[in-house]
Amino acid sequence: MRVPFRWLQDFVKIDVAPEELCAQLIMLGFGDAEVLPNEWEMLDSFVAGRVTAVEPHPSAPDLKVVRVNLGFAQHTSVCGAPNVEKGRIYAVALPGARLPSGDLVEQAEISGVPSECILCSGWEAWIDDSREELMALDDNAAPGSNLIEVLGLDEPVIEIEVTPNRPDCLGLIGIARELAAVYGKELLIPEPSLAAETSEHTGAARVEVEDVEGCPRYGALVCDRVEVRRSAAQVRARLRLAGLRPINNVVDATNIVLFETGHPLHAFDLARIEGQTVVVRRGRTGEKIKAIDGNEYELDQDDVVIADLEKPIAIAGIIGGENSEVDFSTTQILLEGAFFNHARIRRTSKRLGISTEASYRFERGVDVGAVLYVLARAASLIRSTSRCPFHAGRIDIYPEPRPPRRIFADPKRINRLLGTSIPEQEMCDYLERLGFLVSPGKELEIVVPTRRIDVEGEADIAEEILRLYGYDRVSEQAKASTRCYGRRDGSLFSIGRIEEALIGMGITQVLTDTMVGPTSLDRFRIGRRGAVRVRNPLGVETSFLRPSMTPGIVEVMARNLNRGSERVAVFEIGKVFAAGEEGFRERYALAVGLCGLDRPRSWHSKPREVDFFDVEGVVESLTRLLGVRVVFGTDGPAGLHPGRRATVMLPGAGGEAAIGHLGEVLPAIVEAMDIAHKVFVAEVDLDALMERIPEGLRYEKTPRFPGLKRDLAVIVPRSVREADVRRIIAPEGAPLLGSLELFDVYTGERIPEGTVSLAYRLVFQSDERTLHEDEVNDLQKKIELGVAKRLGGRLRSS
Amino acid sequence: MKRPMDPSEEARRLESDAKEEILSAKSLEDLEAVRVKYLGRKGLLTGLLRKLGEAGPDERRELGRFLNAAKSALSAEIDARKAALKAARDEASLHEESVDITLPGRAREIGSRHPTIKMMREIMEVFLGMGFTSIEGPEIETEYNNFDALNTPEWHPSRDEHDSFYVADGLVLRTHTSPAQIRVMKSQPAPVRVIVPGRCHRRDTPDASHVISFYQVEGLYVDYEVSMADLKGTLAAFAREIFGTETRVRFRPHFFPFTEPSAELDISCLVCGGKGCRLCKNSGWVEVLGCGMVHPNVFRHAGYDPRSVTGFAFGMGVERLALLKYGIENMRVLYDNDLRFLKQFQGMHA
Repeated sequence: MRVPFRWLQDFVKIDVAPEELCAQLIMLGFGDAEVLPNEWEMLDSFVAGRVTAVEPHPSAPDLKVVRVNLGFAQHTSVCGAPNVEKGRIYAVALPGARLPSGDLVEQAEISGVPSECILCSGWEAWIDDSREELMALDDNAAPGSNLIEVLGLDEPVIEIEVTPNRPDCLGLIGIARELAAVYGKELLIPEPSLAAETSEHTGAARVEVEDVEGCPRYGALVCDRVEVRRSAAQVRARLRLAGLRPINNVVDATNIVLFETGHPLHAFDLARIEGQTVVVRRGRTGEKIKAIDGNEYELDQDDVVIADLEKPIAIAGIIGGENSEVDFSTTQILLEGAFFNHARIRRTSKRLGISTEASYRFERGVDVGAVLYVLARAASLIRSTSRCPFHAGRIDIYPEPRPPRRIFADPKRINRLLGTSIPEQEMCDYLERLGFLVSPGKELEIVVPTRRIDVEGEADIAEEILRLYGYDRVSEQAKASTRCYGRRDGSLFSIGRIEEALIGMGITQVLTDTMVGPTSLDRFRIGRRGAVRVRNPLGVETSFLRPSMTPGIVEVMARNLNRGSERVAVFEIGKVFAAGEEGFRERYALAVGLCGLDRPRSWHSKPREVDFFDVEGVVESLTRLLGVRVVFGTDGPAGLHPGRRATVMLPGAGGEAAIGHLGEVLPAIVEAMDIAHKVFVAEVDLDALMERIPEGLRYEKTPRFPGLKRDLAVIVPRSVREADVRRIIAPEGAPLLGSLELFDVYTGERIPEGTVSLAYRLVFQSDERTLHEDEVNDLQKKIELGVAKRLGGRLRSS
Repeated sequence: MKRPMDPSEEARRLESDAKEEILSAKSLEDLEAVRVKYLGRKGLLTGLLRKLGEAGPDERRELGRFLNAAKSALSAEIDARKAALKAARDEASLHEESVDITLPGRAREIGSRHPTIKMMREIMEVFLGMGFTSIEGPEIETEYNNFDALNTPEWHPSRDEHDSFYVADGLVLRTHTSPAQIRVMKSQPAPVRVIVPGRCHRRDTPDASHVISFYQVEGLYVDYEVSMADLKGTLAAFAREIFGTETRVRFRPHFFPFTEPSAELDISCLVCGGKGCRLCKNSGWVEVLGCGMVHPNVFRHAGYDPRSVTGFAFGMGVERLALLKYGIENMRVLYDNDLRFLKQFQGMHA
């Protein structure tokens, strides 16, 4: 909301600088209040000029040669405007001035006559779009004075934010009321020269309200013998300060009232209303209206429509129709001042995608009690611009008058809520200054002005009191409570630990988009069937909630490699989503991506490219941190290399449950993304892992007796998996085999083709005694035999 | 004929020769050779001792005493010399073993936390210390919890700022973490003292200060007789903890459908300290969070009796705080995920 500083003073006289007023407005709840920089620099080379002579142009019959007194000089101008008049004062653009067309004014010769300046229309002077006639200025304006000052455009304008609960402050008077209350000043509300009680309309015009739910109150003034023309230059300039577009004296008057009171009005050309009858009704399916913005809108049953006997003439509270618009030929108008159902207005405005000054206010709620006042005020303004006074006849349809709301409020309870001790009398004073009627009693009985639709209960009353008392005067205290204390539990805390562990492993956290598109899902061979679809996405490439974080994290890797990173190690923890038969499921997932070098370049040792076992190792370390045992299965999603992928599984009573996967991203995908390295990812269901975090940590005794170490190398066919070897060694060595550690894997010339040598360090251990060499030797033989027999392996001769 | 040498004289000469050689030994190896030469099994002094039996009884006693004294004297000399030589050698070898300590060490690579999460965790820590427990809510939320129960019916204009993504009838991606207020109050009786960190989504066009998906930390404290003064005390302490003890705070009226009275918390501008600059648009203040006393309608929706309990709630945008605290100018930088940017948040310092 724009607040022109001098205009505001029409309603409350406050002698402070605009900047100070801003500070006060902020503390009243009008955030971001600031003085706008002057927006009229382009008028620097425009001045007021008095026409001292008008002569016909010697060769062009449509033009005139005009002498202009600029105070500091006399200029000649060639002018084509029909309304140039000797003795009047107009806006003049001097050489160097820029016109809205982009042209610079310069001295020129027009059909043989030199022209030194331009007499301006409203359009040329940047005020509005009137091009047909010159913009006459006030007769008292001094020739030569700058147009900015003449039109009052040097007035400071404050811009404030008005929160949605305060439609009463979407008008200058509302803001003035707040300031009057806080500064203890009188609020000056202009009295219409036409009383609100203007006599009952007795003419031919009629109003019928069929849709009372949509229009609880409809007021109208019918004005005859209206003269429609351009408003005076000062009025037009004022409207510009308000951010409004000058049209004609009738529309401008309704806009001025809207801007002052916050209550929108509409003017119809009564002659263009069929049957002189206004019908307020619901829209009819298929019905269309061409609005004054030039667009055609299709109406429906939910809309409140202003119609005549034949057709819609306005979308109520939102925009008028072209078919009933007031223009310069209009002589009889019907001024509408109404109270529409805010929810209905909002729905229609949303559905049709139209937001206007009117709809913005009606959907927030206007003052039902102000209907007749605003009509009378607008009519007075129009009448003051007409040469002959007219009479206005009133129509007011208000079948179920709404009494002002009554609230009971307990000052003690308010003080408890605020943590203050404001005396009751002070509370009453604040409320009365804001226009509430207060009767003391055990509880305060408060009558809420109808404009304050936001004040519904005691809490709202508390806020009103607090705003005037001052938020800054409430003390700062903090209550300790032994009944609630900060608990370190829940998945966020486990996640915090996981983040720290991964960071310690040299992996950096990233955050990617929750919403993904078909291109990236298809690329990673992720089906869309189980994905959650967004019904109203911003674009097709953000139309799904991510079912997996792998695409996002690989894209991050690609981007960083592109920018010259040699080593990318990243992880993300966030939600992934799935649509199932039981509805939507969201789970915390962890994705890890490794690519490029395994460590930074250094003089100590040469880094190598990361491989499968790096990413597998990250998952192993992490599960160790969580204390959860997982096993790896030989399978995985289609987006991973079939020979270098694994399913991460949780062992359980009913078998193993897959909770994720890891491996190398399919080379075709990587190539398509212009990545020149192998890319490795892991993605696991973090919720599933966190559910398994064991509780109740108990220690185990460390061994008292020395263990016996044995190294053992077995040669097995390459088809045998290492896990199978391990699975044989462990039970064969039981119960004395304390640990089993693979320390070498060899394939090459020194062993037969098609075989692999696996070297283990075994540690045998007993809790009760020192072991004998002999018994350990026996065990080792038993292990060797087992491996040989069951896997076709043999010992590697040393 | 040459007369055999007097044994005692020979012994004296041996002793003095040995002493000289011990002193002139330049290395442990030389010294060991000297020891073997005189005191070894076949050594010269050992030879004299062995020949002691050839001498007469008187002479034997005297010579024996002399030789034994000489032997222990020489042993002591050798030990002393040995210690000196060893010390010299150790020192030489330490010198040789020195490394260039300015060469870089084998540093373990460490990663970094995303600045948004870093900020979020700092916020959580402060409230945890003040007795708040962190809980979570789902990102797919009912429209009812996200709006209606928070006193924001369908027609409410403040829904304009919460344009939402729908995934089904009545199901939206939460536009704030506030719906967890309803969930927690429905699940337990007062007192409630929780914070709710999490990701939210609004259907906005991204710009320098908005992203579609962002993190919020919501807070709620409901108990008997919680007042606006508690709200101010708690949140002012929070702001000073995060932005520094010198930070000035200001509460000013604002509007949220789910609190009444409502306020916004501003802090003195971090760049200019309140003098006025571009960041604070010359006001000296920057907005940090929204807060207020829980609206009675919210209590009613959650099944609490607004006549018996009161409470305050607050909500803050984590990215916004991160931008302020780390001096980042454009929110989109946070989600570009450039490692050169992210690595700057490696340290523990806030």
